[in-house]
Amino acid sequence: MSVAQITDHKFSIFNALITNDHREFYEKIINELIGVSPICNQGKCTAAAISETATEQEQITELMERVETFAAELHDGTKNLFDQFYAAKEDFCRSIYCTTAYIKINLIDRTLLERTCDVRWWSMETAFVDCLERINKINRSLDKMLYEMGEYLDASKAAFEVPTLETNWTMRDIGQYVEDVRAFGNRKPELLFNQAVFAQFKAKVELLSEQLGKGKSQEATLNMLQKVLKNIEEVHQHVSTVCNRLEDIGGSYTLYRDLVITIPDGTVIANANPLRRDAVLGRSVKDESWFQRSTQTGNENDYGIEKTNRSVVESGNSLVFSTAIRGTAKGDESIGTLGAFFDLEEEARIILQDYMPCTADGDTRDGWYSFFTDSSGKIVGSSEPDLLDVGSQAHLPRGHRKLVAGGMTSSYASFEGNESAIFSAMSDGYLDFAGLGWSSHLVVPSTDIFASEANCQVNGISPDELMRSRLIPEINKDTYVKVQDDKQSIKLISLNGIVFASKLGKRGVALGPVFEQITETGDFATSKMEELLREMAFGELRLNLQTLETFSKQAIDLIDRNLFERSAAIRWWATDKFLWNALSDPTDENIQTACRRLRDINSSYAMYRNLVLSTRMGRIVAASNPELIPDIKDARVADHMWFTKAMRSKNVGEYAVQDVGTTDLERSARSSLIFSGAVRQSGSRNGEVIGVLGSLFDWVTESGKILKTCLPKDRNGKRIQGCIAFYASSNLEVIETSDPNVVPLGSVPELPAEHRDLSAGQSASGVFRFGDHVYIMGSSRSKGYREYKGLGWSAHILRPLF
Amino acid sequence: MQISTFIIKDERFAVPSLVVEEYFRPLPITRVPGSDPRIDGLVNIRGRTAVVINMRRCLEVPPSGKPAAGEMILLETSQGLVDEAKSLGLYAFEEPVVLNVDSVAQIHRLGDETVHPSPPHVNQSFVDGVVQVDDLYFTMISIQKLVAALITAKVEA
Repeated sequence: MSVAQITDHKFSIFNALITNDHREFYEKIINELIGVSPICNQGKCTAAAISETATEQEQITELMERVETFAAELHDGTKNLFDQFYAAKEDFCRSIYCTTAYIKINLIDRTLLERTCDVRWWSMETAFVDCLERINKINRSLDKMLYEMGEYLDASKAAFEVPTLETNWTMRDIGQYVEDVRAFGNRKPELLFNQAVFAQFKAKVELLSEQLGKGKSQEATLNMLQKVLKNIEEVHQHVSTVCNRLEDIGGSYTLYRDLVITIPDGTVIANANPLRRDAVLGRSVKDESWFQRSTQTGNENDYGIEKTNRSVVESGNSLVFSTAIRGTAKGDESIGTLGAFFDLEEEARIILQDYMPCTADGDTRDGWYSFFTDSSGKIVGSSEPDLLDVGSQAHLPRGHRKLVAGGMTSSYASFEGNESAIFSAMSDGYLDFAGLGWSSHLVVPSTDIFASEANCQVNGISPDELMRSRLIPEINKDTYVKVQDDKQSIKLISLNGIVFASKLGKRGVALGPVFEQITETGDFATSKMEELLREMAFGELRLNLQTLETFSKQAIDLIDRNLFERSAAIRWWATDKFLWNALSDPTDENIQTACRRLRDINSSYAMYRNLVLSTRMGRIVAASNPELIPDIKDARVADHMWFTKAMRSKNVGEYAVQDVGTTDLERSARSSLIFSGAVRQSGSRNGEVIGVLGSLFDWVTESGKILKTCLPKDRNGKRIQGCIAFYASSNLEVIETSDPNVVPLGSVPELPAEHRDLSAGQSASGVFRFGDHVYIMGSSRSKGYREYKGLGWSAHILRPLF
Repeated sequence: MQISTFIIKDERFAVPSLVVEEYFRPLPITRVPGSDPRIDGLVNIRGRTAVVINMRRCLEVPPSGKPAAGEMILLETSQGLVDEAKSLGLYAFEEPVVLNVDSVAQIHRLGDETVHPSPPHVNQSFVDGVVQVDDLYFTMISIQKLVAALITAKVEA
């Protein structure tokens, strides 16, 4: 990652970015300093007039010259100081806001990576494969069947054309019944996949059959009709199985608008959303890009991602993950397609509206925008959809449209009529996921970047202490020392002048006011500069606090999102056929199959240490890594929280979690976090609970990784020494830490009240005196993510001041 | 009369401006072994050797955490003392003497009426009285008595 340099900003009083306060400030100092020269001239003249000896005059003239040189230096110093001030702010804002833009795109990338795994996993679901194979077979033979049915019907119709004594039906009546049934002959997709259409057909067939039954020698036709009905009925059964399964998955993964399965010709045969089912089933998606993309996938690891806002499935903005479903017989042959409609709009809204400063009413501050663009520069998600239309071209400076993966840039431009600074970062993917070439942009009003720190005050630290802290760049510290030094110099020069004048007795009286004026001017200028430096320091402090808040928020968000995935996965796995089969019919073979299944799942998810299956009595019968469980034969979990909570769950939509702590299930692990879901009879939605599936999340590794990601870095991307990140549980006990020496696991650090009493989703920052050190700290409390409500944890990021 | 004020810790002191020759930033001090703790050592001011008196120790102000960088006041020698000073009965030494203080403050011009006698509870012999300038009080230090006290201490030791 590199942060591109914008322009070399040189201070100019005419720059529109300079605040009024500072302009006034600057002018005052300069005016005072310009006034020094005439004073000194006056001093020199007075010296000439009053001196009795050449030495005396020389002494005064020298003093005056020193003052003049000094004033000139102060003049330059002031300009440099303003330069430094604005450059520092710019630099810092660039670093923090580019990082924020990057965090946002990175959050999307992390989510999308999980989604690519989802679709590939689901496509291997045996229920889908089985049903699709049957459906395809029937579908293929149905054309012939329907044709034959037509032939038979024609024959029957012909037979009825000769009226017989047994019946008083007219030919016209039978003809109508036959035509009614025949009319369905060319509505095959609807017959197969639309329940309402099939019901109409069935009714018509029954009416016709009743009439045909009254005639002679109609068995062949009647059999044919029954055969057609039976086949279509079987398809409907399979469709209903697939729909139920998709609904189960959809219920656990709420970030999808819908999940659909099609047969190879692009006809949708099942979906997850029951409300859209009638509108979607039987429709063709063969012209939609996501479907076409899925037909090009080469193997089960391949997938497609396509953006869509016009699909027969869903009309909103979705990102469709698709892959081919492959048959069991010939491994490579596609027997259908799975399409997962990821709710991009909602996801983008969650991410984009986050990390934005709010007004007291909770609205995003005016002039702040956050949005994503795709590789062609079109907006794919926006914090203000009313102003920045999704799908339209974003009005961005050229440099922001030509970023490289992981690259960042910033520049000033007018945006929506505001003078703004625009910060952009391009996705560099996450792990295996290469990203979609999207960029994230953050627009901040220029005035917000250069706003002066009106009240230079942060509780808990004095300006002098702050100036000495590690936070303040050396260059500013040096300037501060220099200004204080200058202040001393000018004081001593003028005091010596006054002392000198006083010794001249009456003659010196004329010199007195000259030195008094110099003292005053020098004092004013240096005090103002000190003030500016302190303002600068507090600005730096404030931005640092903001950064730490951002990082703590990122830390808690990343863990919430990670655990959301875990809570979704456990619910889905708990419905797995092999698992409930092993529990309801615990033969050796079934148990072995369940073990294999758990191993297969576990091998695809590195973040679990173990997956365990327990009976309803709390006995472990299968595990993905049985060797990790001490005394597995006698392992009893009946009194474990994850077990009892899952046993009490009401339906497949629920899961349970046992907060971070130690467990008998793995004594070697420092701490474990266990998710669990009830396994129900026949995997049905509200069925009787017959056991519990538990997943032992590798908390130590995963949380450690995230904490490391969220440790502050300096402007060159190097980690800043002495920083600490830790998670605290709801009772404020440290559950993971990046530095166990300073913040030990299990300890309860005494946090300041505003960091301790955070409400869900709230952040705070401030000075924190801890042990022998003074830190600044940013804290955020979990707000959960979607239906994962979070466990009331908080993340804290500390940066040492001393 | 004008007084030159200086600060030690948070307390304000003053000497008559006429006995001050020059103010300095701190100069490197050469310690002299065996000298009174109130004597910091010797400094070289443009070729002249001066004795540095540590006012913090003289005034028995407890040392604070961080030693202040400090400032120095070079006193007039008897040779440089102006007539006005002599007429006021101010005293100066033959040799240059430097007062080492936390910081020099200001120079105030004042009338006699603002000088109060030393309060009775003050037992330091070198306190000459208390000066009021506006709302602030300054303790007037008599250099002569101060140095006399130093010499007495030496004799006693």
